[in-house]
Amino acid sequence: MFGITMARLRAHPRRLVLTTVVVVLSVGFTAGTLILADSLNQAASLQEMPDAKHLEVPLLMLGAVALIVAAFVIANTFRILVAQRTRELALLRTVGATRRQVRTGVLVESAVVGALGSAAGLALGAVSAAGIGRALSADHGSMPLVVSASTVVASMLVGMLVTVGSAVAPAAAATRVAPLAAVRAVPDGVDSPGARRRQTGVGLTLIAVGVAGLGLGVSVGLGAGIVVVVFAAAVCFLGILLLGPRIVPPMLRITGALAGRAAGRGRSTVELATANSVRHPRRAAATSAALMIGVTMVIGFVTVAESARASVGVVLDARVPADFVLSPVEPGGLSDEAIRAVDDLPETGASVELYTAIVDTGEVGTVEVLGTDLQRWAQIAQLDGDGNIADIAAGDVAIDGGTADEFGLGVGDTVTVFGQELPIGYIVDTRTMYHTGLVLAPATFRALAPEAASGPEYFAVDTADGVSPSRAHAAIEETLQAWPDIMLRNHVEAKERLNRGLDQTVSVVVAILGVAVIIAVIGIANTLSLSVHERRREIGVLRAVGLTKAQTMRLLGVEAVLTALVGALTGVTVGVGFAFAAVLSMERMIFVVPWGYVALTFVVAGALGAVAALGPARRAARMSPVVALATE
Amino acid sequence: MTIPTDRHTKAASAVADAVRAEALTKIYGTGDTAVRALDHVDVSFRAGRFTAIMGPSGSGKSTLMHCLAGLDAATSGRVVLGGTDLSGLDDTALTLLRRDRVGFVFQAFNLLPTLDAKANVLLPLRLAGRQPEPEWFDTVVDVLGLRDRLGHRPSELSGGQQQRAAIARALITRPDVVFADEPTGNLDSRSGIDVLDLLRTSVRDLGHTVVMVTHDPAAAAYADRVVLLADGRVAGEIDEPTVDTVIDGLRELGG
Repeated sequence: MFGITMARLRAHPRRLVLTTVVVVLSVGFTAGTLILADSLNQAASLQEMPDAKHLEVPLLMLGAVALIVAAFVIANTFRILVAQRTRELALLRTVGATRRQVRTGVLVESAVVGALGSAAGLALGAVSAAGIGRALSADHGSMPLVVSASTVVASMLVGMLVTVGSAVAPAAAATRVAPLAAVRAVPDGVDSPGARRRQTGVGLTLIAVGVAGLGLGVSVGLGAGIVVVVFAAAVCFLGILLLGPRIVPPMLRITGALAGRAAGRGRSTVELATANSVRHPRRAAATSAALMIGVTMVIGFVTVAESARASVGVVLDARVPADFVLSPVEPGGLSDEAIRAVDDLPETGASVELYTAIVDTGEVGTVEVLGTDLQRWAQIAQLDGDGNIADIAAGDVAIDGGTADEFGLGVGDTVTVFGQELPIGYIVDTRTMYHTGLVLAPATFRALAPEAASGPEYFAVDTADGVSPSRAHAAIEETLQAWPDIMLRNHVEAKERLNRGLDQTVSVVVAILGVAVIIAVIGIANTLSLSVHERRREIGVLRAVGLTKAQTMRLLGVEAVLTALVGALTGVTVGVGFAFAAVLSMERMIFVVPWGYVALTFVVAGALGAVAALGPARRAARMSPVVALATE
Repeated sequence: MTIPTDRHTKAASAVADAVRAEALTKIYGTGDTAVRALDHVDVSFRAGRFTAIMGPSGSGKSTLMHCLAGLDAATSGRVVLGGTDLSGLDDTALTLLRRDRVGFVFQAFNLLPTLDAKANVLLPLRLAGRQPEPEWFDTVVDVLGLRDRLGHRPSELSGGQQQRAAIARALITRPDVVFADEPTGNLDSRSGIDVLDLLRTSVRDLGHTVVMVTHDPAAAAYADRVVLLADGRVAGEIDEPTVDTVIDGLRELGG
């Protein structure tokens, strides 16, 4: 049997190439991340690159994503291959091969592909890790290349397991082929109605459980919330994958109809392409799912990162979103002279003082009370809310919207602060002011709690108009030399640092996840290539009745682009949804949809789809109609 | 049965050849393994006539049809279809010629499984971005008895129905020539007779030109004329063939 298998593999080099490329890339990626992680560890322990250790976990997680995508693509490729060879396998049965022999044949084939691909992938991984290591060590000391035995074993094992594992189901399907089914090809990806109902049921259940989990994660809030959200997202995602064969074909039809309307005279090829793309629901779903996984990760990550950028105040834990904040090194108040000196500098502009205290109120429990001038605050930062800010200056108390909702309080109700019952005059929208608790005017604060108000704890000041932040920083620093016990925080610089950090992280993660996307695109090319092979005759007919070479290319191009766009669309939708839950679970963070990245994702997905179609499309266009018509 | 026809317009060019081969030679392979599928074939097919090409397996009848239809390029010689010399045309020009001026009927029907019968019939027009003439569409659909099958996919049609849809697809562009390759080969005898009747109707009543490759003498007897091929050469012709004359003609080829 082994001999026959090898002969068959040699007889169909394209099959071998298609699957092996995916195995090589995915094992290469896994091995690369393992080697890089080991090497960075080593470098960290040698104190060459002390920061390197932080990279290990994210690297391994990203490696896992690429591997999952690869498993999808490999499994899909094997399934199509076996479906296409129904005839050949049935022929083997008719000449006396047992079920077991057929099954073994398919598995041996996958093992050969897995072994070859894993070995090549290991080499590719080592080379890429060395390259990345050199690039990293250029400005951060040197990194030794560590290829441990466990990396070699793990990579080979993972490659073999994914490949052979992907072939198990198709191999089982192959043995179900009755010898006489040889005459008629079994349509690929058509499930029995029972299996379909079961799949839909399980899929919907998983999605429901996942969404409930997302809700739970959001309500748990800071800390454990994000962990719950991540797990719930994974459950939800599984459900979506299971529902793929129900969801993807309608989406392809709608996208195809829209594209057809836009195509004008090219409409007929778009219509044909749409009809072809939905022909095998499972195949279509698996092909676009591979892309969806990568896109979900990229967009989910970028959305959280951009939301973090927009919520810079929360992230930096800034009391006031001003350019500079002064606070005493030791607990206590800031001296009036120091505040005056900084405020009087020509380089500084709007400013506001902050007193703080923790107060046990009767009505809303123990909360933080700020003493600050909200009118001046509003000059520095955006401030929204219900009520009148002037009432606070007149001695009323302000409360944050979250707390007010929680205790059912509104403007006009009273709260006891420092033993004094005060009417609520303003309810702060917490999206504009990151504060949970109460706010008093400084005068009210000083009058009610003279012992707590030895001086303001914070003094926030902006740069004056027309002055550069660095000049303002220098001027403030010089002034503060007289007060060494005062600490200056530069939020302009911190923001820039955070933005740089986010930019860097986003580009690294996008670059790494890009590998997953490329694997998915190879999956599209695989599916299309196999589909061209099985549709030789149909393409021959189309060419005979008048499909030009250019139209043939367009037909297949549109098929690939449609699949890619639908994969991107589901990925973007799901990724943004997950990110929304993640952002909600991190309290008070602002949610931002990165529209630029979303648009870029569609452009890149469409372009990659077109590139994936290039090879198969050219092959289809070159086929002689006579030869194509003669094939059975 | 009265059928609206455009016989008069077709009849005007009836004296001319719909398609003609001149010294057509087709050689497969090179050197020792070269096979001469067609050897200086001169043959013409008059417009408005139903011609059958017959011959033993390997006589070159399919190759001749492929060359005449612009599906395959000859090694030497030329094909003139409706006044156009095919030898000078590139792939796109040949494709457009097939789309607009040639109709095909295949043994395996070859309808597209993803399209319903109507979309299959209209396929050549759609590929050209053209709208069907409603009257002609109705005529073709009614003559072929497809009216109540238009919304069905090929998998929901019988073999005979599929072949009738294929004939409708071939006629919808009012081509110069319809080429039929063993059109009854995959049909039971009743559906086969149906299809042959329809091909003859399309010639006699609708004024089309049909060239049919077949190995079945009974099918060939439906034609106005039979061209016999052997070893890549024209080996004889039979006008107004009957089953008996065709069988006799074939026997002579064998002997």
